[in-house]
Amino acid sequence: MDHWFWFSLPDFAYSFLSVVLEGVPFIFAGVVLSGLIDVFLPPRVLARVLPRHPAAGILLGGALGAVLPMCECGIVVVIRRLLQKGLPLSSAMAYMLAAPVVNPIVAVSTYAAFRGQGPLEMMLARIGLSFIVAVIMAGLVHFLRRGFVLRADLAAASAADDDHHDHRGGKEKAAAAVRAATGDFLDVTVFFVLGAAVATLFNTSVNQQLIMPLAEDRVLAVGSMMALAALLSLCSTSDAFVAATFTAFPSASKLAFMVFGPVVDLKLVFIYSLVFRKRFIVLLVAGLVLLVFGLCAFLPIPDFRG
Amino acid sequence: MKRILTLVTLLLWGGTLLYFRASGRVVSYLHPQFHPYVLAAGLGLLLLAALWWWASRETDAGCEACGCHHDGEAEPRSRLSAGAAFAFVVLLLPVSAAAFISPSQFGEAMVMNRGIVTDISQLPSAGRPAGNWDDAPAWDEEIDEADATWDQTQEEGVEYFTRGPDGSIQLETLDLLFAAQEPNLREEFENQRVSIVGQYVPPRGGAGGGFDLVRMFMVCCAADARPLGIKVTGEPVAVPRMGWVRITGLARFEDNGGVLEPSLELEKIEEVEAPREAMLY
Repeated sequence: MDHWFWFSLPDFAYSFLSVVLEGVPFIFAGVVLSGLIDVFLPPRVLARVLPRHPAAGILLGGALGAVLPMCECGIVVVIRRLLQKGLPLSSAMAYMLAAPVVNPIVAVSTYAAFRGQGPLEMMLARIGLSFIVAVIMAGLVHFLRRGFVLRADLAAASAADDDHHDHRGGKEKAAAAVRAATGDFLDVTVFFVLGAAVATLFNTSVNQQLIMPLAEDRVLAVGSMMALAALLSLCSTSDAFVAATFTAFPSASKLAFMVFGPVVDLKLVFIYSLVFRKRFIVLLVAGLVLLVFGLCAFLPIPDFRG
Repeated sequence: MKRILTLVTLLLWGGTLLYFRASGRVVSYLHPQFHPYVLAAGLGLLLLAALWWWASRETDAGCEACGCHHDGEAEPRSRLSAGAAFAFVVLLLPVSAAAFISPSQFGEAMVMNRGIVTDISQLPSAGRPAGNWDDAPAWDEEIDEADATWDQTQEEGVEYFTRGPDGSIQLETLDLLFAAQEPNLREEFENQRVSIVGQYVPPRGGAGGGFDLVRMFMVCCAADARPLGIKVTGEPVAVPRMGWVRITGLARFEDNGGVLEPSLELEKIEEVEAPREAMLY
C-alpha cells in the first residue's frame, strides 16, 4: 500500500462509461414519467388526494417508494415535476430521500448481498433507518420556506402552475409531454455526467485499502464508510453488494454506507442542483451527515451474522 | 440551433447505448441483467429524438392566445445562451471521448487501488461457481488418464469441468478461490494441474518473487468490479503488464495468517487473446 492516489485515463474512461450506461436507462425512465406527469396530471389533484395533515403526508411520502420505486438518479426529475404539480415540499422530500431504498428492488438486492451476514436483519435495518432518516429530514424541511429550499424558477413555477387552467388539446399535450421529457433529460443528464465524472475520479484513483485499518473502531468505521459511499456514488440497487465485501467492518458501518450513499454522493450533489438552492443543499447534506452518523455510530446496532 | 443540438444530443446518446449493446461491448461494462435496459433506453432515446423533431415544430395555439408559459419544457426556438452551450458540450463531449478512449478493461492502477481479493470470504456477493462440484471429475482416476484427445465440447456447460489438450483442468480464478474455502475440494484440487486465464500483474517487490493472475469480478457495472487474484510462484516471466495470459501449474493452498489462499506453481505461461467476456459475474 505505497500510494493513495493513482490516476489512469483509460481506467477513468472505462469506469465512467459503465456508470453512464448503468444510470441513463433509469434517468430515461424518470424523464418519461416526468413528462407524463407534467402534462396529464392536473394541478391540484395531488393536493386533493394527499392527506391534509403534514405528518401523515410525510409518512405517506416516505412509504411511496414501495409502490412507485425510483432510483436516486431518476427520482429528482420526478420530484421536480411533482412539486410543480402541488405536492407539498415535505412529502416530496420524504419521497425523494426514502424511495431509493424503501422499495422492493433494493430490499431483495440487500437480502441477496448479505447472505451469511444476517440478510434479513440487514435488509430490515437498512429500510427502517432510511425511512426514519427521510421522515426526520422531511419533518425539518416542513418548517422551511419554499423559497429558501427550492430554486427560484421552480418556486415561482409552482405558484404559477397552481393558478393555470390547462386549455391544451390531446395533440398539443402530447407535444408538450415530449418537450418536457426532453428538457428534463437534458437538464438531469448534464448534472449526472458532471457528477459521474467526479465520482469516477475518486472511485478509480484513490487507494481504497487505506480505510481498512479503520474497521476496528466503530465511530471511525461508520465515518469512513459514509465517506466512501459518497465518493463511490453507487446505485442503490447494487451498493449492498459492495458494502457486504467489507467483512471486517461492523454491521453499523455497512448500514451507514447503504443508508447514506443513496441520499448523498458526489453525483447526487450535482443532480440536487436541479431542484434545490445551493445553500439548502449544503444544509441538507450536513443534516444527513449528522443524522446518519449519529444513528449508526451510537444506536446499539449489533453485528449481524449467519 | 438549440433545436438541432437537442436532436443531435438525443441521437448521440441513443446511438451510443445501441452501439454498445449491438457491438457486444456492453458485456465488459454491465452485468447481463442490465443489458435489456440499455437496449430499451437506446431505442427510447431515438424515438424521443424523432418525437422531439415533431414536437419542436408544434405550437401551442391556445398558449399563444392566452400568453401562458409552461415551465420545464425544452424551448426549441430560444437562443443558445452561454450556459446552454456549456451544457451541450458536457452532454456531447465526455461520453464520445470516453467511448473512444475506453479500452473496455481495467489497467494496473485500478487493480492496485481496489486491492486484490485472494480470500473469497471477502467477496460474499460472489455466488458459488456453476457446475456440480460434488461430481466433478477433476479427481476421478479414470478421467485423470485422459490424453490430448479429450473432447472438451462434450462436457462443456454440464456438471463437469473441462480439460485442456494437456489434461489440465480448465478453471476460473473464482473456482480456485472457492475451493480454498471447502476442505474436501481443497484436498481434491491440491497438486492437480490446472489452467486459468487472467491478467498478469507483475511482482510488487515481495521477497518471495512470483506474480498475481487476476480476473475482475463485477456485481452490477465495471465501476464496482473487484480483482480476484491467484498468486503464481516461479521464475520471473517477460509478459506485458496486465496482458492476458493462460497459466498452467500445480494448485496449492497456503495458510496466510489463518486464511487459506490458493496459489499456482508455474509450469507454463502463454499469452492469449482477451476473452469476449473479460469480467466474471
